[in-house]
Amino acid sequence: MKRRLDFWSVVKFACFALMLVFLVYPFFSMFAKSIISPEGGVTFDNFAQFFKLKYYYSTLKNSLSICITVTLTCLALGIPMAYCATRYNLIGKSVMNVMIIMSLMSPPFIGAYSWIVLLGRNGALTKFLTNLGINMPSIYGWGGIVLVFTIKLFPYVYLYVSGALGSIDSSLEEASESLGSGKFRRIMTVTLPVVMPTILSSGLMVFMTSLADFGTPMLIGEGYKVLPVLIYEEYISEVGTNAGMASTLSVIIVLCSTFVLLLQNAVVMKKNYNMSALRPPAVIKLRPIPRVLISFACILVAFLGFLPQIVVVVSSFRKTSGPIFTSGFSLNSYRDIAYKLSQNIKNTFTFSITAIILIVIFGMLVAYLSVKRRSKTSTLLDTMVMFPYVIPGAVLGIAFLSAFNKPPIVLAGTPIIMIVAYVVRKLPYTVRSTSGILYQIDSSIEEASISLGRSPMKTFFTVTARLMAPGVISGAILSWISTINELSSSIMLYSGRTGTISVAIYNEVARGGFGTAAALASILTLVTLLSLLLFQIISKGKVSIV
Amino acid sequence: MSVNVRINRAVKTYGNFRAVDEVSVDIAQGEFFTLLGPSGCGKTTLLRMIAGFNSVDGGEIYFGDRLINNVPAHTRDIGMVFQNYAIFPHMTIFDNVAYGLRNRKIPKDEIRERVEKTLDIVQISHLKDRMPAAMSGGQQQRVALARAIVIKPQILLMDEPLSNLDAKLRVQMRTMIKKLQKELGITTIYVTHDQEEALAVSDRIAIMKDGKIIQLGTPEEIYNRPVHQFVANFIGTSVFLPAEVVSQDENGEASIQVSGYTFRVKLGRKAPKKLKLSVRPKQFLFNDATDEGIKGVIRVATFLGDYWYYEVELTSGETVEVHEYTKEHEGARPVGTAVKLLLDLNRITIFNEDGTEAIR
Repeated sequence: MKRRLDFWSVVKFACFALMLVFLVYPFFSMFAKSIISPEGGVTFDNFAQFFKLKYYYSTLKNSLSICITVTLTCLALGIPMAYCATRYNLIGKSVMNVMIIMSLMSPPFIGAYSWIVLLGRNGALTKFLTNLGINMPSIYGWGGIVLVFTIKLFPYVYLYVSGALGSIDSSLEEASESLGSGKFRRIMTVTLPVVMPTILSSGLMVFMTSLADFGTPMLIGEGYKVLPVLIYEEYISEVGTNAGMASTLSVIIVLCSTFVLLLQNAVVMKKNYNMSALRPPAVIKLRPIPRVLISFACILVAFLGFLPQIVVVVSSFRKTSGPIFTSGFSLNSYRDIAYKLSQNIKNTFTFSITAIILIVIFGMLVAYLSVKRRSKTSTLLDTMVMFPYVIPGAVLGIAFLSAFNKPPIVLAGTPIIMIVAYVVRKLPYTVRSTSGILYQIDSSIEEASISLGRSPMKTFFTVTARLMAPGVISGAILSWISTINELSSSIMLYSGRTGTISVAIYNEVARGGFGTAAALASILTLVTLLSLLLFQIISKGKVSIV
Repeated sequence: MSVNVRINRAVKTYGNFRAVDEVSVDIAQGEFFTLLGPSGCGKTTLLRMIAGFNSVDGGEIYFGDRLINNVPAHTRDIGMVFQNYAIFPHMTIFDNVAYGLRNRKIPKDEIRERVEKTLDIVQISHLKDRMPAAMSGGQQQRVALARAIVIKPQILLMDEPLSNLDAKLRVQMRTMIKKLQKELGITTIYVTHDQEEALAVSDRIAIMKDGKIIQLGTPEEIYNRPVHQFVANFIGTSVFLPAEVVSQDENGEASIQVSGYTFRVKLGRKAPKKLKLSVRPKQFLFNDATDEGIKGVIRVATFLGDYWYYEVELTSGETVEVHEYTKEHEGARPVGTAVKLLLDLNRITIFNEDGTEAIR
């Protein structure tokens, strides 16, 4: 029997076509580059070299050691905090939430730089503590990377898990309680397992982000070299000589992370809980002393994440003389960037806004297809869309460059390649958080709308999309924040006229202009704060940030 | 306008499994038709095929003369009430009910008028500006019902609409649904696993098992004349007693023996040697006059107002349930009393040995 071509089939087809052009093709090009020798034959020399030379393979070991540790520490910090924040009447919860989201935006490696400014060899805090006779352990190397990553990335766990905890139907926990479970057992046997898909997603996010970031380990790692740093160095240093090595390293890192993603996907697929949280859990009123203690602990952790922003903003107003901060305050740094870098500022906003609009539209459609129209093809589509999630920005940059600097599609150096890279790279945030909420919307709601005569397309836009909004908005905010701060792909793809704020920050730091870098980073911080405020106004407080 | 529904050899497959297996049934215009069966029998699957949410993998489904196999669900002009109500949580009650009308290019005034009238009918007009989250199950159910009927659909489909309500409310709601259905004269297909509910509301019932309709008939027919042991067991309470044909003459008059008691009954056809009797608790009669009957001893005696409820252990070892109206016998029959049970021969059902066919 012939099937009518319905709305969702068309959407699915269009998504596939876009994915083929902007994902499969670039990565195919990159892969080809890694196994084609300068003479044009097929060779696996590069791969052999990677596993032979300690210089190469030790970076893989280092990366895995960092990522696993950071994922565990972030979960250990984020889950209890999320639980306390959603279930207890903590003091200063909104301030805490804002600080946590702000710390997420701390521009790549500026966070690390701030921690060096505070705790490095000549750090302000180090000096202060040394004067008191306390010797801090070195911030450089493995420990420093783990510290900076944990403080920067636990917000993912916190935000995702509090979202899920807030939409569990309270009857589930009440049922457990009524069956005689104490609080601890209830959390372990009901609450945690039900939010487990979200926990896994957030853990994956932490793992992948820490695997991909190269700014932090480059600054604070010193001798402790991880894979992305190596990729970047190979790419920068190679001009024609060993064209394949950066591609080879990229392929290796992609293989590693794909494996982890598939593992996570398999687990989440098996655990699909339908919940219609018409009655979200009540907030428990704590007695004064525990309330103050728990609030204080949570705010302290949130503050640690927020500290780099303060350091950055304060630094941006300090007087500079060349690369050196001198005593006193001034607006020189801001005058400098207004004069030299206004194009970068403009670029960041035009590119990011365009990208975020595309991300929201595309993300909702893809999430819907993969959750509600589950089939082999939509699962494949979901896997494809999630693929960039596991890809360091530098790798995506290399892939795009190897595909789009030659016909049939030439995009290198244009704003389009930046925007497309942002969409491809940041889409997974929105897709994940949207999928999360879609799992909780019962299909009968849509069927009710369809039975009342609205076509599947109209139903999607009037009912489903509306119910998805909390997930979409929280995902889009994460996408937006991470887009305006995107460095690793931008640094590969920008040309003279398409540089963004984060590219400028990186270049300024490399040149030693920490004052201008701090001023630029402060602008990003301010914009993020404003975005959050705007979001609160638009959502009229009905949609929570998390 | 309400229409008739014709289902011809409809099939739904999941891999090799046939969830609905060549089901054929004609549902008349304005009829209240119920699909009844245990969970997993295919009743909801069939309903969703009619609604358009499940594909039709074989056979045909017609609304009137219109073949709807491949018609998208939203153009089928149905009203559907879901088990979990599926109220749009982001809309007020008024907007929920108006939802289907707003899609039909109806003037605003008329929408308001129709919504208000329908809310009146289901007695929740005072809640029209509320959000659904703060409403009870019964109220949500009324909203779901109002939303489905306000569009005056050709067919009303209901998927276990009362299963999430408490017993008293369930009885209230089913009375309201039935009254409403008759007033509107709307063809209704109703799915439930609750036999009492099915008997109460339906014009006709189809009993489903393993994707097939086992019996189709009015509630009375289904209750009194089950064609299959499954039906006798599923609808009401029945005990099954093995029996044997001692002799049968050319007129069909047979002499049948059960647990040492022999009775004569006229059968319409030549009976097999072995039979199975299906007897309801009220179809056992205590014989206080003679020595005739199935012998047993009373083990439990419970007063239930209109009748006494007894459990009688037969000499064969089986325990059967027997109801006796209080007006028919003065006082209780004490536990331990030896009794003789006769059968209400006009009412019991006689099956073949494995219960797959009714002899009478």
